[in-house]
Amino acid sequence: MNYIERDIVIIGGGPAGMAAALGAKEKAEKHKDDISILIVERSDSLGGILGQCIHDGFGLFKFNKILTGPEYSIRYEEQIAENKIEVMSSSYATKIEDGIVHVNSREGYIGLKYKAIILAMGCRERTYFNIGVSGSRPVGVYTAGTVQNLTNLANIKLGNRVVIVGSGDIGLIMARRLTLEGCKVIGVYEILPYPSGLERNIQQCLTDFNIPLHLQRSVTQIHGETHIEAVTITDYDEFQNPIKTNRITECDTVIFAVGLIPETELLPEGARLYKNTKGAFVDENNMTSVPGVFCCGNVLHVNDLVDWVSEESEYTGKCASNYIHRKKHKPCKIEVKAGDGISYVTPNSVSGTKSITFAMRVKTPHYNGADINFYDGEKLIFSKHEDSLIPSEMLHIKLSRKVMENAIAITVKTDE
Amino acid sequence: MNKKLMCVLCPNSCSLKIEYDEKTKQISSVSGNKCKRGIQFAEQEITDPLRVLTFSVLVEGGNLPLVSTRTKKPIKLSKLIETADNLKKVKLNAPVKAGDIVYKDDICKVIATKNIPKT
Repeated sequence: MNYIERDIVIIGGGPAGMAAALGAKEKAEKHKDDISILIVERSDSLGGILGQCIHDGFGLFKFNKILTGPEYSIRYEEQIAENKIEVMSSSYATKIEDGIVHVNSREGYIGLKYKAIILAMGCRERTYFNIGVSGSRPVGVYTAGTVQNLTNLANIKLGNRVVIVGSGDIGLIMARRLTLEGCKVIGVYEILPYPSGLERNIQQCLTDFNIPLHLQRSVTQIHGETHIEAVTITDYDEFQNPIKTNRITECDTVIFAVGLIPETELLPEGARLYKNTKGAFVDENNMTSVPGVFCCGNVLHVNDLVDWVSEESEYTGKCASNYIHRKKHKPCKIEVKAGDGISYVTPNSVSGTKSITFAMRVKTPHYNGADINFYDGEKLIFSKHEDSLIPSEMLHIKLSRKVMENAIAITVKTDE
Repeated sequence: MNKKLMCVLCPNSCSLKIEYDEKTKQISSVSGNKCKRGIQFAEQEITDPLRVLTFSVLVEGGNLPLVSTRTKKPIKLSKLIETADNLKKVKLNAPVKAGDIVYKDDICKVIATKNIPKT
């Protein structure tokens, strides 16, 4: 095996990886450090998932414009080229061990030694197997991201009568996309009493095209031996208990948009996981419990807007440069936990020596607003009122150093 | 008639509550907006909603069979399907550059949103 060395290696050349690279370079220049940065990307070009996200809604916060996925990506790709950041494309990282990432590159299998490594590989889709749908595995069953890829990049039409399971953003986007291509989208079926996707997408993908959204319903069985013929739809109560199972809808395609999971396969052995996100447990620098291993973007927690991915990743790149410059971080002994009403909060531990912006999501909708309260044990140390909170919209709250410096363990809760 | 909408003009993403007459589409009140543009947006949404169409167009001789495109400006919601049908008939030749006008008619100008180099 050939060995090469780079100071900062970034796995993934999508929006997270590109922003991390630029953040790392900017910070290194401030430190007057001459460091080598390398992006390892499995496909033949940069951009990651943005290449197949041909719809708009990107960049509203980052650039104050409404861009399509590819347009957002081009802005970063141009900066990567301008900054002459090295990219190793068509190269797949297989494992991280003892400070070396193994990569299956075009030049053969290599061992890439790093001082800091930033994981930015994004996430994968939950499948119908994860949610226990029964059937004989006929043709016509897909996850929404796969349909998006095949429709927008490969020019493949999958079917004519489509049922979409799950009201996640990708499912909503594909409902519109397929309708524009001439398919009949019979409906979107969501098991919860409220939709998981952004309000904007419900309006512009379903309401605009009169595609029905069925709440408290899901597909539980797929009929058809070699090809889909129909599906059984089950009605649920508000606690996801099945109450009625007797609708059969004829269709030839079923698309599952039932959630995304951080792609954590590459995390080295011993890296602590955070079960609320299924991503890594990270400190205030987005560094995992393995020194020098950082995470950012969807690999850390699934974001709803790429604008947040870019901010978080640029910050992580800067932290990686700081780590190399100083060779260590301030110890992060204050653990931050998600309490009542909060499904997760990140980062998971802080030092109390600098202000930190926490990202979090609420467990259930609070349409009339709620207070987000930070407790140190029993003591309330910070509170912020937010109007209208829903699980699908990530919340960012900044806490100053002063508020956290004497804390021992922080819990975040909602109080309505 | 009541309608709830999210304004998409700026990052504030105000939740608008609009009261209007179903027949005449005359708006009697708009609330939730942080600026005047929200009111204009509400009026547009009720009387004549506009949307950006994003679609893929066939390309020959490129590294991908399709190029992603968008209407340069939002067009009438009622014209989305018709425009999509027109774009299905377009065949481009690589290379295509992001920003190139790939289709034009009375309703809209459609531009490429990514680069498709020749294979």
